[in-house]
Amino acid sequence: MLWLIYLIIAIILMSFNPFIVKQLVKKVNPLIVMFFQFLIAIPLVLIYSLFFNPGSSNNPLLLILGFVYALSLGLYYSSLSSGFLSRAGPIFNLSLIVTAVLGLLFLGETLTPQLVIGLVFGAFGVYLLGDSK
Amino acid sequence: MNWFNLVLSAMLLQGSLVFFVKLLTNYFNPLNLLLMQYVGSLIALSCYFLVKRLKPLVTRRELLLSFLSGFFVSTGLSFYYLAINLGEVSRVAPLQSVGVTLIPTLLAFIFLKEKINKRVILGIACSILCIILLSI
Repeated sequence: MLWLIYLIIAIILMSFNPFIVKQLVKKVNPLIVMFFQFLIAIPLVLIYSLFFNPGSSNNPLLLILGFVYALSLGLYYSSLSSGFLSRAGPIFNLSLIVTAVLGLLFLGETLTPQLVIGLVFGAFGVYLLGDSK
Repeated sequence: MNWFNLVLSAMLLQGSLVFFVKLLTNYFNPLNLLLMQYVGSLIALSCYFLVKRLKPLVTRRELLLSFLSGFFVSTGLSFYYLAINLGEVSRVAPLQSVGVTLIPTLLAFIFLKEKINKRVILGIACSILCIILLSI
């Protein structure tokens, strides 16, 4: 059951992040918020990595992931500065629709009825939340 | 760009990023991937600041809150990867997605007094159904 304890910690911590960010980006440039987030995140993840998975390999090309991540997070935080957390948050979390579609297109994953219904619900959810007054 | 187009672009990029991260976890440790992701992001942001001559100036309170949110998201993600390593992805991933969709929304309703209507509730319900159907 250790995985459940880890998961609960993860959910609580990750849920409070957009709430704090929403408060911050009212006054501060979202990119500056991200800069300080990354500044503290790097030593922390390095410590966690050394503690839980010492001696695992790395590749400098993986830094490219960071460029995409910074762009994605920058757009999300910018949306929080002008939009609603209760709408933007769920839409951002629906990014798994894109992951699922890419899996179907490039990895030849099977298109099941369950997946089709899930994608339809996701698209409808984005439409409802995006059009909310 | 309005908030909807911004979050839609963010969603597309994030979804693509997660796809590549999932592929790379066959070869690299998830925590190492996360570390490289943060290092790459910091390099990208530093370059942007240099080009735009933007100085990351904030008050002490804003600095503390930024560090706190950085601690929350990086520690949260690290624990999420550890949970995935120990548990079954089919159980961990949907629970995490539903949790991080519902809790910030509730916080927004309670503390930020954001308006709630039937359309928003239906939209969130559809999002949760989508997460469950795509994750299990």
